[in-house]
Amino acid sequence: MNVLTRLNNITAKTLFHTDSIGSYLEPIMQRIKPAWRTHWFRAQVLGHQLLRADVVQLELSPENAWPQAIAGQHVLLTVEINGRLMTRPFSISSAPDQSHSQYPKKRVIRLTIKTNIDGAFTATLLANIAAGGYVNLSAPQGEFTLSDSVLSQPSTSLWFVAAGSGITPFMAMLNQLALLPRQPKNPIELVYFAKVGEHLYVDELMALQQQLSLFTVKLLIRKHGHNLADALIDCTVKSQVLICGPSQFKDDVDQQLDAMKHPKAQRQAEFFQAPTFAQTAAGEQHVNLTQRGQQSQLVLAANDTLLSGLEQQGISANFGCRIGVCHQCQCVKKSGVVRNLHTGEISQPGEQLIQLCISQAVTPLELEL
Amino acid sequence: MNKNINFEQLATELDELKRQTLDQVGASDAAYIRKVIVWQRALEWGGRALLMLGFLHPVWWAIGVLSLASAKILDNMEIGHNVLHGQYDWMNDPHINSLQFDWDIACDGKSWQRIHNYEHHTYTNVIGKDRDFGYGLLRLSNDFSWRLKNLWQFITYIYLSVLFQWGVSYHELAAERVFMGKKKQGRASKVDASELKRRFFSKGGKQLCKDYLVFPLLAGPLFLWVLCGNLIANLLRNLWTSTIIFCGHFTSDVHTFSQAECENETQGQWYYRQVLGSSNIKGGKLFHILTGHLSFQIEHHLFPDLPSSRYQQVAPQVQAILSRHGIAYHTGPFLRQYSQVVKRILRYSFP
Repeated sequence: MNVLTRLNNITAKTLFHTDSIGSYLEPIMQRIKPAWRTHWFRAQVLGHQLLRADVVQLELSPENAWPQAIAGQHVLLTVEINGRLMTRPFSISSAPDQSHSQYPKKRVIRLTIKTNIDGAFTATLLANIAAGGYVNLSAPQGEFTLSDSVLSQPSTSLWFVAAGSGITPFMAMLNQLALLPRQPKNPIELVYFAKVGEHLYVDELMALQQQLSLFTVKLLIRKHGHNLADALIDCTVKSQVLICGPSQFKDDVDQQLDAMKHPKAQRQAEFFQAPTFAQTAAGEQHVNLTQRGQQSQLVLAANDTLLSGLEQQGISANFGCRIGVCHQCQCVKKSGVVRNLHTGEISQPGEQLIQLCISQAVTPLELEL
Repeated sequence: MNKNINFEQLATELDELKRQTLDQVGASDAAYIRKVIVWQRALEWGGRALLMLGFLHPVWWAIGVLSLASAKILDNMEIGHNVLHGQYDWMNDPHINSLQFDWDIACDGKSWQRIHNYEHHTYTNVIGKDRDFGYGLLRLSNDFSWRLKNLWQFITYIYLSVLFQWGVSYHELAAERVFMGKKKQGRASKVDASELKRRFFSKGGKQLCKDYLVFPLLAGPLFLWVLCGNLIANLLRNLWTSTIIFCGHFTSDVHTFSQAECENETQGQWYYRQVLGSSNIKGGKLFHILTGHLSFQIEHHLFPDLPSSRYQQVAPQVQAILSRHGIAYHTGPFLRQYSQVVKRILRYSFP
């Protein structure tokens, strides 16, 4: 921590009872600059369009302080939905250096979001953002990016293997490669599985195929008999393979590549878990717990409250009334779904405060005590 | 406990009311608490600035004191009390939540949460369990045997009100017998004594340093003006919060309960006890905000984590449900409620 940060924190703690001067001023700043938050960057919504009935493309202009992303990274997008701040991760589908025809002077990023009518976040997203309005972004994060060392070895072919909305980080990478001053010398193969009529960015991919001489696109549909074995047949042990899609898809690709003796060291993957409500065989749920900076993996009985489950594992969590009144056992759920035993309500999958004494794990959880 | 009440039905109706009200909670409630915070900041800094204009005319200083006192009252009651209860946790705001928030009084927010949110709200008015009933200083019912010191307990009460923030701060340490007295048997403390001491001095020290050293020093030659202004603002806040809180639980109609009565209590019986253990104060909208909506003590005790922005709305519905079940709903104008408190303190000064 540098001296200025320390000074800020000490001043804020003594004079304002907050962790920083910014957090004391936040509600006032928000009157002047909507959605101004100390924890996050601000981005203005430039516009949004429906790419498909269930896919929204957001164009955002992040504030200047937002660190530049590397193609392939994702951000946490925070939107205030009916008074609640909700946060979800999304890949950036535009290249860092890509300029926008409509806003030549602004730094614009594009997020491509698959909506779900049952999702608390994506279902109401369009109703909660308006062009000109503001949302919040985290710094770009993730290591699903192209390494320079791969690009400096022209003999290494690049394989982009995508399924469904897993195409998004590849759109960023491909656009970035097209912007390079010199054409990349590596052959680039895109293997893109989707349902009939659900391939995204087809026109843009065709245009990229024109721009990048060594780039080939394969738009595949399982229903039409396309399969991974055929699609990956030309992949060699020296190829660098990047995989993005649902976790099941990633497992399938791994299995296929293992069978082809492709080394794991030459694979990168980013995958998303659809919120499954599955428990382990014995009615248990996995919990990833962070307590005072220490991480631990636990398996708790899924029909027990989280509080007594943790206690049975010898974890001493703070508690009070044990009936949901006093909020002493409040803790941060980083991710996962819980059931509120008082209301029967099923929670959001994102970060939230929960009461351990009246919460039950519905999916695997990440908790911070 | 009263056997003629259908507790199951009572619980169902109150649960349903809570559920319906929580369903409506949203953007307007978030905007409300942020607006109150903005007002608090404006009153605080307006007040601190005016304190330094006392040399132009003392009336500026006096307005400054009132402004700062109002800011401290808002911070303590409508913001602090309610945010620390977790009433606004659903907003997912990184600062406006019960884990992060701390307030502008001598008491460490975490200590208050243990004593108030847990003990007081779970065991409201259960003698021997809820130490907020008389704060271990005052005899307020015949459940306690009379002692000589009760003779001058009205003076003790005045002291407590004047130093209320320090009373609240010391409350947990007194219960844990950190400095003196014999530790009670069977009382498992969750935080050890040295940690309690450390937090007591750390938070209290910061408060003293801020109001009586840093801000006066920043005022330079106006050191004394600012110091006195801060002192009076803190005093006004102490008197106000103490008075409102005493009206919530120590009016003449308020019941007490024995530990045996509350064993194996159902949700309906718990609601019933919360109602009989509390009393409301009638008043206007601004009055309710300045009390942190503790003027709706009954509603607050039924639904401690319902956002304060909703108490005015649920009150008539709560009253209707209670009257259908023949349960008393204690309320009245401020002066009537407060005179009952004074009478109660005086009455139990004697055997």
